[in-house]
Amino acid sequence: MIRFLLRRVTFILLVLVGVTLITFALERVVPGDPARLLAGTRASQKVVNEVKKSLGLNRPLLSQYVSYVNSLLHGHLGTSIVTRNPVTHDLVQYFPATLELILYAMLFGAVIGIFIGVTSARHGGKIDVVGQTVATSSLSIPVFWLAILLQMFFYSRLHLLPSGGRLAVGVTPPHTITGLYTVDALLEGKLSLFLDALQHVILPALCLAVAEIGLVAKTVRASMLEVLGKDYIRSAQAKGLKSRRIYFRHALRNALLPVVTVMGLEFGLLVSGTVLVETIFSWPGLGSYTDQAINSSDYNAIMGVTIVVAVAYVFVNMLVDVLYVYLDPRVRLT
Amino acid sequence: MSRRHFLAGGMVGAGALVIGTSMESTMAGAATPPSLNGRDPNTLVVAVDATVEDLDPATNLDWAFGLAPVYNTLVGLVGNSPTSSGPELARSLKSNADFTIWTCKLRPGVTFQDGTPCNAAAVKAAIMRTIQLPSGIGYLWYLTDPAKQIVVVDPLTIRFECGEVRPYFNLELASEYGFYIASPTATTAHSTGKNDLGHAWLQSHPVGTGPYKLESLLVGQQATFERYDKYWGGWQGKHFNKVVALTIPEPSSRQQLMLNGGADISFPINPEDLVALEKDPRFVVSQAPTMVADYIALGMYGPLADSRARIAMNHAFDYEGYVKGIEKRTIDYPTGVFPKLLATSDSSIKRFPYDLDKAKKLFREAGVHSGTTLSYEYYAGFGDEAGAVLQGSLAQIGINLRLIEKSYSGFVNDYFSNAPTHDRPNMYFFSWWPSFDHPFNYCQSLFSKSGWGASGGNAGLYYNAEADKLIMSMNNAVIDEALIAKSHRIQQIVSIEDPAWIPIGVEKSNVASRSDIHGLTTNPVYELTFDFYSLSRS
Repeated sequence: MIRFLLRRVTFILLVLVGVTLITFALERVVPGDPARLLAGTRASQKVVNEVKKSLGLNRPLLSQYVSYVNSLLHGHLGTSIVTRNPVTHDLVQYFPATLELILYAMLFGAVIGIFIGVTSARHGGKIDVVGQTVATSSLSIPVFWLAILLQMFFYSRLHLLPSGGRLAVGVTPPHTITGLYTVDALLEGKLSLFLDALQHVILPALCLAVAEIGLVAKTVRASMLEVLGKDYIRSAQAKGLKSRRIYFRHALRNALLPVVTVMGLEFGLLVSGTVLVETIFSWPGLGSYTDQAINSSDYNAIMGVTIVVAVAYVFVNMLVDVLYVYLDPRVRLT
Repeated sequence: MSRRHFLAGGMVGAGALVIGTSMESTMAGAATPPSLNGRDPNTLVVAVDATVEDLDPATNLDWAFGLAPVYNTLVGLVGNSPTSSGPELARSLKSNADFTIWTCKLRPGVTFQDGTPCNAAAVKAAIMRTIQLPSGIGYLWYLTDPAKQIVVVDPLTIRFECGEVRPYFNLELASEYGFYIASPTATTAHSTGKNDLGHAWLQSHPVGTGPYKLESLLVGQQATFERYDKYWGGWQGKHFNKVVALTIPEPSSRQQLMLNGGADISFPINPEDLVALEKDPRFVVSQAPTMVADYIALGMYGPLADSRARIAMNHAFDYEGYVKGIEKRTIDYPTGVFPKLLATSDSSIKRFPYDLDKAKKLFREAGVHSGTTLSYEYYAGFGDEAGAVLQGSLAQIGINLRLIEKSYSGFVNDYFSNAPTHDRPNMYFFSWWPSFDHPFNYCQSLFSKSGWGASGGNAGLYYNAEADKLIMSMNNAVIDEALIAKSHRIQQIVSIEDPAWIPIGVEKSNVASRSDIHGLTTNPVYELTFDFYSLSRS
């Protein structure tokens, strides 16, 4: 296990070098003028040149990259051109919001997707048709459309859930422990604050989870159908075990293995989906931050986000590999 | 397709499915605004489209709505007038006879929110910091040696020795970007060096002399300002105790928040939604004219080098279809290249009529033949509809228009570039407004050779010898009959005789507020910045 983890950590370092190199090159190739944006559209060329110099953008690309990597090794991700804060500071502010959103989305995706998949596989017939229709629809629904629809229905019409943000206006957030408002509120023992934060996360997380629901449902259904055809299931049926026990104890556990992989891979998709969802639901996370950074050619911010997302992605997939061992004793980490 | 379009399309689809969701609200008919749903009536909630992240007036040049509650300028524009300034921190601001020296008498007894006095020495120190902060916007003061040019005469008197004629220095000082006064005590105490000058700290801990001080800043979510009890203006009369700037990037979300009582004022929303709110008696939509001109800059090179081709382009733009059909009259029809509100604007200048036959004839005369392909660059979410309108019209007369969408940063890079003409698009979409109301401030960057490429806003590399000479002669000139005549002549040349642009519209303020909010005044120079102190709820 330790050898496996060490190898994965080395892999993360390699990924980081690759990611910084590619992102650095790409963002410099795409036209953009951060110095002009920082100085303002009315600034003279002289002022813009001074800003360019102060940002080090007048130096050769290789020199810029070397100094960037050097700063990175010292734990500095540079300063954002837009917010004028250290990128590390910004990421600390924005990342927990996105993480909270993604975790809830994964939770919703897993629970609803597994439910649909199992129900479809178990009952077949019309229920299966309905389940499959729901799964296919959820994969093809445009997120922005669904987001606005949910907002109009649950906020404007039913007045059940808020339209956006992480907390209601005027509500003081919990002290930062994890940065996840729902968790921090619980840790502080503030139930009303937890409920407020939970209410705010439901719609954006559901919206983000929709594609995952379809994917998980389809994977679980296919996997369940395959497992249900195995000999050991027939043996269990022949032994007279109750069908509920067969489905949930024997079949589902084995059918879940591919779901774990799917969810690990889905993490990356969820991160990319946050750009739209966070914009519509005014969710102050990495998606909004990235959108703003790209529009302003905020090189350091883009690099920072890319690095964080890459590390998180590799880490989640490493976690998936480890989970596999626990879910399937036949699997060994080599 | 731009994100705005895409989302707008989604909005229509969603609206069709959730029958009556928003219609119920807009058709309510009652003038009583939506319930506050338990919100504190003494708190003003403003739904803004961007995040409040930098509250240092020496660097913030995007969103002054976050600075306005906290800081004051020396003088400010009065009400909705772009040309008359009144006292703020200064009781008076007077010039000498030739406008080279301005003397400012400060209001006595004013304190910064950190308790320190706002006297002449503090004001000088604050201005010096603004000018000296690297990557700041202190260049807008146009003072080359501020240590000498700003003279503290006595504790309440400060003199600006401009070193050149600046007849509208008062209007310059009333601008919202770069002229707010921050506590020098606070910035000095938290400075980490000459590259910082307290900037890192001031961004999220603003200290000014304004009516509100920052209570909390949840980055990307909301900024809450609470009243500063020792504000020099006092707290008699009706005012809000708190102001919350709520970041809601998506226009349709802002509209829903308004309809459901979640916000008191909203920044501009989609034209269709704005029209719906306008018809709803529970809301007031301010459609005051602004000085923001939307335009398509025509490249004075390649196929559009000949003035007849540029006149043809103007004839090929369907104003009616754009202003009325697409923008739902949430923008005004243009009168030439000058916004109507510019002090020296000639309102008799008419735009070219939409006439494709004439456009075709002029193109032929200019040697632009059928089958020619032109290019038009704009940035995501802005300028796409205007491009589509133009593309449709040009297609009817055999001219192809290639639409090039860029990110804002990519667009700015191209717009302010010194790229050779063969690497430039034939047209650019952009918007511009003067920093203060003077024709030189507006024209120099846009229509003179000194504003070409990276030097200013003249991306089309426009040059007309007569107009150029007239523009440069207006620098720091007093607005009198002679200057008005010059300005009218420039407007005639640049709009009609040798057009630099297709001026496509002049923006309106388009701010929506609940009908119980009073005192909302929009000034055309203060783009989306309000005097929160003067607002109240009935």
